[in-house]
Order: sequence, then C-alpha cells, then structure tokens
Amino acid sequence: MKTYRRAALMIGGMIGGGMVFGLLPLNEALLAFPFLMGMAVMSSGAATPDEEELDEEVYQYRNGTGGGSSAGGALPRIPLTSYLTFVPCVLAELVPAALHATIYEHSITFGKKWFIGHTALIGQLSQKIDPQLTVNSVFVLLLTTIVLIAPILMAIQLHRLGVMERGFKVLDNQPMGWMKLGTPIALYVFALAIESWTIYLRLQPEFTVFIRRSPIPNDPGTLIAVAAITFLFTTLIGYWTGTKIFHFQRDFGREG
Amino acid sequence: MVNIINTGLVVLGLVGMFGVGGVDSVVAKMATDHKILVFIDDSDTAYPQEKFEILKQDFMAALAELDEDFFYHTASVEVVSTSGQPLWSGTIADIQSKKGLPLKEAIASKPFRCNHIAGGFSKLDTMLQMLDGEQFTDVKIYWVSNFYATSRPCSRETKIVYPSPLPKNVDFVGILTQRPEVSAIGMYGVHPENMKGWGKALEALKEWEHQSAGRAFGIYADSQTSTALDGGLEGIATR
Repeated sequence: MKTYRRAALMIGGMIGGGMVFGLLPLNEALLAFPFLMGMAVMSSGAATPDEEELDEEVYQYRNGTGGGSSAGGALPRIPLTSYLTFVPCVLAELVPAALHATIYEHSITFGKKWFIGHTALIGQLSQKIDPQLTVNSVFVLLLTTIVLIAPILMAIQLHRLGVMERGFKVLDNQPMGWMKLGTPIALYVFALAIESWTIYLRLQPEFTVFIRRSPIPNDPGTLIAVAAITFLFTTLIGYWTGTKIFHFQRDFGREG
Repeated sequence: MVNIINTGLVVLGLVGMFGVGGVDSVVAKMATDHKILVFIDDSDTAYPQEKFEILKQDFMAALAELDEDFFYHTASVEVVSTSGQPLWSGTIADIQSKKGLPLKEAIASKPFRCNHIAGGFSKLDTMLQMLDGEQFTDVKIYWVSNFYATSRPCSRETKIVYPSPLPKNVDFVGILTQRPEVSAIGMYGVHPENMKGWGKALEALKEWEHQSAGRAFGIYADSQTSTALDGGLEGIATR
C-alpha cells in the first residue's frame, strides 16, 4: 500500500472518529469529547475476526493462544484474583491523574476561554447537579479523563491490530486498519492539543488581566516543562496499562 | 452493554455539539437583564497601598468569575471611580479579555487623587435615575473603597487621618435604594477605622434587605474582603 494512501486512511479515521478538527468551531471541541471517546472505544473493540477478512497470519496470531471467542466454545471463567493485575496500573495512573489535574486546575480558569461560548451553560448545568460543583472542576475532570484514557486506547488498538508485533505494514492487510488506528490517535492528539492550548492561553496577558492570589507561581518555563514531562509520563503509564488490558482480554478470550 | 454506553457517549457528544448552539441567543437575552454598577477607589488614600491594589484585583477577578454563570456572563457592567468619574463599561465576559486591559489601568491608584465619595454617590444617583427599568430588571451595586472621604481639591499636603468623617448632606441609603430594581449592595475594603461610621450610616440597609427575600446587603472591612469574595459577590450565589 502506498504511503499516501495509508496516511489518507489514517487521517480519514481521525476525522471520522474525531469529527471536530476543522469541521466544527474550536469551542465545540470539549463537548465533542464524549462523541470522540465513544468512537475510539467502539473502534478499538467492535470488530471480530469472523466479521472481517483478516490476513491469515494475523488471524492465527489473534486466535492462537488457546481458542478464543471466535472458536465457538464457551468463554473461560475469569478468576477474580486475575483482576489484581490491574492494581499497579490503577495506582500508577493516579500519579499522572493528580499531576494533570493540578496543571488543569492551575490553567483552566484561563484556558477555558477557548470554550467561552458554552462555559456559562456548563456552569448552569453543573450547578443543577451539585451547587458546589464548579465549572473548573467539570473541565478538570473531563480533560484529565481524556488525557488518561487516550494513550490506553491507543496502546490497546496498536496491540489489537498487531502493530506492536509485526509493524505498521500489518495494517495494509486489514480492511480499514489505518482508519482504526486513526481514531485513538485523534483522541491522543486532541488531549495533547487541548493541554498545550490551555497552557498557552494561561500565559497570554489578555486572559490573565485580573488574577486572584494563588500559591502557584505563574512561571511559563516551569509550567511548560512540568506539563511536558507529565504528558510523557502519562503516555508511558497509559501504554503499560493498555498493554495489560490487551493481554488480559486475549488471555481470557475477550479480545475481539 | 458496552455498545449501549458507547452509543450513549456518541449521542451525548452529538447533542453537545449541535444542540447547545441554539441556546446561546436565549442565554444572552436573559443575561442582559442584569446591570452591575461598580464604584472602585482609584485614589491614593488607602494604606498600605499595595495591599489595597491586590484587594481590588481580587474583587475584579471575582466579578470576572461570573463569566461562568449562566445568567450573568453577558451582564452589563459599568465601573466608576468612587469620586464619580466613569472608568469603563462592558460586559462580564469582557473583563478577562483584551477589553479588560484598560480597566486594569483605570482602577489603579493615581498619585494625589482625591477620594470624593460624595461625588461618587452623586454619580450613582444620576445613573440610577437614568436607568432603563424595562431593559434592566435587576441592578447590583458594589463599592470597593477604604471609604476615606477627602475634601476637594486634595494634594500632597492632604493629611489622611482615620477614621474619616462621612460626607455631609448625602442621603446614602436613599440613593442606594431609590430603585426597586436594586437587589444587592456590597461594600468591600472598608478601612477598619471607618467601619463604625459607615456601618451606622448604612444601618437602614439591613432593614431594606429584610423587606424582600431577593435583597442582599453586606459591608466588609479590608481584612474580611478576601474571605467574603471567596463566597461570591453579595447577592449572587457562589459558583
């Protein structure tokens, strides 16, 4: 398959999955998040080998570890203790979660200017849910979720498609392979872009005309460095978690 | 089950993307009913000056936070000096934007500037008389000042001695409460030495507050202001 064709398919997947980049105003992007995440989750788990004409080798790889779901037999019972394998992942994910939440909490008051069109509406809705729920906390929660889940979904998809074992060429032999990879990448790029943008806006003087006293200094260099390291850390932890989820699903025949 | 959740997420996203746009015009209409009048001290009578500048920043930041409020984010705001000079006008959404940059400069203390509070109340009186009650069904008035009233003209030689005498022949309560649209009155940054005198002069506002459930009044010394602002502006629910 030609490189440009691969790129076109992957971008198609990104646009199809994201549907926000270039098609809708930027301030709609956060509200598009559930749509984006739904598409990413669906694309990483919906397909089954029976439904698709996969390359024979990929098919064997995906079913070669002991008669998975497609073999037609009953699924093995999952021992409850096997879920313990995720405990270190959850604990490790708490660290980037806390770091990202802190960064967002620090920058979102200004970063959410991006979403100015609907900030007030989100505020009203959140107050209906709980009077103590602030717009900032809603944004921090959503953005932290995006940034944590994006690398996990991307790792799962890379494993599912066989990219980690056989390289990207394996995608040429799978229908819509490149597009399927594009969707979680869209979420990942979205998370990266949204974090960069909030920090960028945090550092713009016109969005920080009046600042209430805060213990966190407004130092651009430190903020950017901490954010970059945190994002890298989140990606690594996310990849690890995603890999574990993939292996778990494969071992217990839950993988599609 | 997973598919149902996923479909739900997609539907929620689509509703969010396409459904919310139509609400904006309704929100804008409801929000413009509110008028917020801010009288802010730009004199150099406050002491310590740096601390008072931070207090003013805190107040403006708290006001700007109403941008997150469904009903207030496009509310009309007029900022006037406590001596009665118009400083800025715009909306809540303008405060933390490029339009807010001149406001920051305007509210900064000016050397040897008088704090002609009687002039401020005279300006408020005029503004309320001119108010279009059909356009603005709700008016909130906030003062941010140490409430030190200087005589005019004032100069380097003007001595600042607390407590300051209150301006004479000014019906403070009458001016503040002349319109039925006024629903909240907040006085922030009052010098502790001036609290007693101004508290007494504005005592009738407590009665005014209790006459109707929708009314609010508060007077805060400079040391109480930051904590008070954490709970939101007077008469507006905490966000």
